[in-house]
Amino acid sequence: MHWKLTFRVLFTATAIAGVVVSTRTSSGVEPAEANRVALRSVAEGATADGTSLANLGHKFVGVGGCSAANCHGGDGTKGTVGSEYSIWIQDDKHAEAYSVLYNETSQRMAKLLRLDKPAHQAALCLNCHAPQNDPPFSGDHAHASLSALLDGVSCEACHGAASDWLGPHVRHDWAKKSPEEKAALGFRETKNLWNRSKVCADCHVGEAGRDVNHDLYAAGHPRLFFEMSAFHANMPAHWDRNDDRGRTGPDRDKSSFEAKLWAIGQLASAEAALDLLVHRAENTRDDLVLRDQDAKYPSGETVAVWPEFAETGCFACHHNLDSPSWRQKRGYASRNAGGYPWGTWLFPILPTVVNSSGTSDLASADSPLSKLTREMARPYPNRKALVSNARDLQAILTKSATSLDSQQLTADQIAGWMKGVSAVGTSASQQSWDGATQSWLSLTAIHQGLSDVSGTSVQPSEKSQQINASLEKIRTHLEFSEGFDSPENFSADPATAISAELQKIHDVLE
Amino acid sequence: MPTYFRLMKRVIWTSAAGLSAIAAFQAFGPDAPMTRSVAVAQDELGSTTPQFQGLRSCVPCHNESLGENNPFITMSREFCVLNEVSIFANDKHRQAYDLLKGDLGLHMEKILAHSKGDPKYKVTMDKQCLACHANLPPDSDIAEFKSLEFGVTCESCHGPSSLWEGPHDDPRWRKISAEEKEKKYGMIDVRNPVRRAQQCFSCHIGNVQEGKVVTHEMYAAGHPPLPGIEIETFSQQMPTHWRTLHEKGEFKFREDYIKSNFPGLEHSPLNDLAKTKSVIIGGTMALRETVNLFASQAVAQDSQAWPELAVFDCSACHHDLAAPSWRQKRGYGKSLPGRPQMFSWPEALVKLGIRQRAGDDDAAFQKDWDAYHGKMEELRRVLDRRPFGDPKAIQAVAMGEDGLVAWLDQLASDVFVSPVGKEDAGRTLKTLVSLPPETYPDFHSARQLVWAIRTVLSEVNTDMPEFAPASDGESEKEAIDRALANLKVYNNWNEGDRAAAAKKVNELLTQLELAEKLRLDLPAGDKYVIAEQLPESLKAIGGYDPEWFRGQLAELAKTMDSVSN
Repeated sequence: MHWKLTFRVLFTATAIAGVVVSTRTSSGVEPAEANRVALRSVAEGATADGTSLANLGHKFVGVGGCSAANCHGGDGTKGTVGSEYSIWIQDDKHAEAYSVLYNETSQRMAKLLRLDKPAHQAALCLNCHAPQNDPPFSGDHAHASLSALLDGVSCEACHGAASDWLGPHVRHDWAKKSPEEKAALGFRETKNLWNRSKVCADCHVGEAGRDVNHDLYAAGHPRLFFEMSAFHANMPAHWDRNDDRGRTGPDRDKSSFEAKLWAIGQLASAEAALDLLVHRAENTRDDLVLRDQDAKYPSGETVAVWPEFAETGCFACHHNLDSPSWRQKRGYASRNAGGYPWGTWLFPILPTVVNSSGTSDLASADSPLSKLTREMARPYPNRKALVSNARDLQAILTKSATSLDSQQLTADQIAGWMKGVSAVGTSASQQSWDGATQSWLSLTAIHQGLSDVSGTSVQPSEKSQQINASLEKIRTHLEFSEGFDSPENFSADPATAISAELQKIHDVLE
Repeated sequence: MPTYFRLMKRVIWTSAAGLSAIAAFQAFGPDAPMTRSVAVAQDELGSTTPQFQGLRSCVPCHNESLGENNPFITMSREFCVLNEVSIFANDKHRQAYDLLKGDLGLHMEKILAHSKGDPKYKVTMDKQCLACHANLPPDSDIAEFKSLEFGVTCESCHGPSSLWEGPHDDPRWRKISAEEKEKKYGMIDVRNPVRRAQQCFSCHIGNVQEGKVVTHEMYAAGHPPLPGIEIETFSQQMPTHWRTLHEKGEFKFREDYIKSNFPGLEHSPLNDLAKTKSVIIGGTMALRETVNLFASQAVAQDSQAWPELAVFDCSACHHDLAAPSWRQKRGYGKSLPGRPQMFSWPEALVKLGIRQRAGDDDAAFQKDWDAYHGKMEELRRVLDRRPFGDPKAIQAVAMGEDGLVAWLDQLASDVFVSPVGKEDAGRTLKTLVSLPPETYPDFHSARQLVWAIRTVLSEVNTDMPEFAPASDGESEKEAIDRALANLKVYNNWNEGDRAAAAKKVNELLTQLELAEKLRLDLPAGDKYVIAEQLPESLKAIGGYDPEWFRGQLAELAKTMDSVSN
């Protein structure tokens, strides 16, 4: 179904991304360290001097401010500078984000949640599906015009509210402005991979005001299963992918971009997820009583509840009970029988990335990740205990990303990641479909990076072909059956087959 | 052998240590007033606390193989058949302890040892397992417990026997009130359908106070899911090792027995349809015990104990996600989506009790029904407040003075004192077949309904046999002969009329697909292993379709009368 499609598209897109040969001169250089700090601050919602952006009152101007034919509304093909708007409006699903709020699922969701407004008017939905201002969200979309809403996720959703930078950014001195100056005007830098990942994660992982929790899932929202490199490859590029390739080193024909994007995407996604976890833990409301027929769910923001099941792997609970049970036969690894497996989607591969940066050992039993996993395995995790662990882990992830961003990745380093992921994946696949799928997505991305760096993208080496064959086999085991939105067939046999393929990949690289 | 047992028994009876208990008991005499209190009961060692003695103390008498001519036991045969142990030999309860040492027990042991971080962990040394699998009381010492290897045995249900084993076979024992028997001697009044339901449900649903709790950790390690339980069906399939009051025929001190053991009744329980009454009471008590478990878990001292996932409906979370999702299409009633739900099946039969109490008075029924609904709504409201609900509020709603548990207790005891005749059974059946779809959202709820229908329909379709009454001034020999003759009448009726009525009902349910699809016959007895049937039973549970059942129930409503005599 759409899953299968996504996977297929994703697989080919990642492959294609690697073989596009640059025709343009690269303007890309690594942002200087100072810039990175500044950009990081922007992502955090503060200017370099600590002033909150929220108070600066930047407003959305709408796509009309961008789409002039002479500006971003040209008629070039994908990747053509000057045709960004045209590519987005024709090919990009983000442009349809608002209209889906009128469909049957969205209407049913509003009904089941007893929202006090229909989905297409509820800030709860619009903050992602048609944002009209930067966070923190006012919760008020009443002022927004229908035409603004109809644009769904448009330019400013990612690049920042443009009221104060629209004029300046076409002037000759824009390029000379420091990141701090640009950020002060509300502009969001997306060339830096951490920032770019965080922009995507705002919605695709979630944040305060954009929280897809278990209430929403049970009402019908599709699962969020973000993986930066896959989503990035799938998005119809309104920028030149060769510019990206040139940003990770002097030789854009042997670019480590895909590998770096994967690694930083892993770190940024997890960091965003931890922010959301802390938000959920600190904002739980126990008082919302919805039993009365008339009681409405406030549509302004998702109501934080505790424990939040969306933190746990969906399919750990959502599987029919069967006997004999392969789960019981397999055992529960470090988890207690019947405990919650937390963070099965964004965290299984993370130690491989962090440990390789040499900043911290996340796999150790007393790492913040291990502590957090243990606390979150309890049916009613202690909210206070986990916040400090989450914050510690966030600091580690940010530090790792900074360190990685400044490095020129070598083929050996990337091959090391592949070996690491295939080794971790061998056991992660036994534990969950999430672990298996995350391993597969990661290996697909890293393998692309490795092929690029090694110059074997166009003519895959024998090893590369073997790896591709294994990845393709793994993919077939991950597909959901017709009529299901969960891996109803995922059990001992597929898990073992996937582990065997991962082992083969590992062995090929030895 | 008989001589040996008889001798042994006599020794205990007359031994110096045993004398006090006997003397206290004998103070009653046949004509002693019922209100007179019993002196403190003691066992032969002088202890006043009831102790478990194990199956061995029951075998000498309650074993048919001892023959009919044993003068010590035949007088008792008037009251009870004395073949209980030989029937129990085929009862699944007998396997309860051995199962811990079987394949599944060992597999669970392995997983739990890992979970608990204790490589020496043994299920046979875990009080949480033994509480149900050997009826080990929470405060007892495993090493000292005499009844371990017999699993769930006589005393597990009837109570520790050290204080009553001596006196209980004297006919005068029947004159002591059920309350005194339990409080002073430790004998549990399982003849009372309310108390019996409580006793069965303490394991089959769970009871925190008695340490009988199946946790989610145990389920995840492999414990089979506890199914919904309809008390009479489970009892019949054990199989029963007893006769109802009516089925016993006349026995010595019957009138006194009825007076002291059926308090509050203004009619003779001999006229009750005992099984129908038990179905109705069991239906109320199932919810009572479920809510009690739920609320006790919610406020248990151990902070790890709540939320205990095991008290929530397994299938509310454990289901493959369908695309498109029928659950989302169906909606979540008044609940918010995405919250764990209470089991549905314990609510399935509560309406029967409310209907029985109101009789044909529709206004009274409606008032009661609304009160019940109000209390359930209140419970759901505090449950919905957040996932797993607000523990203190759950406790207050469930256990408060005017709470759900107190309300259900009152309902059960009102049904207990009400006469249940054929007209009531007819009304019960009518109520059952017209229950609305929200009553049977899952397999277990639907099965409760059909089990209840099966029991009530079979009972109402069978006329009770005529037993020979006691004649005036009947000698002991004559009484024994009459008891044996009545036992024959009972056996003939049980295997004749009653079996025939049950067969007719079963045939109807089989024709309708209900017998097979709802797996009405339990893996009872010692021939079946529950774990071996799980692949099929879990499939049946997962494959249940409420729409299908609605049609079946409508068909049953139409054809039900065809099986009456």
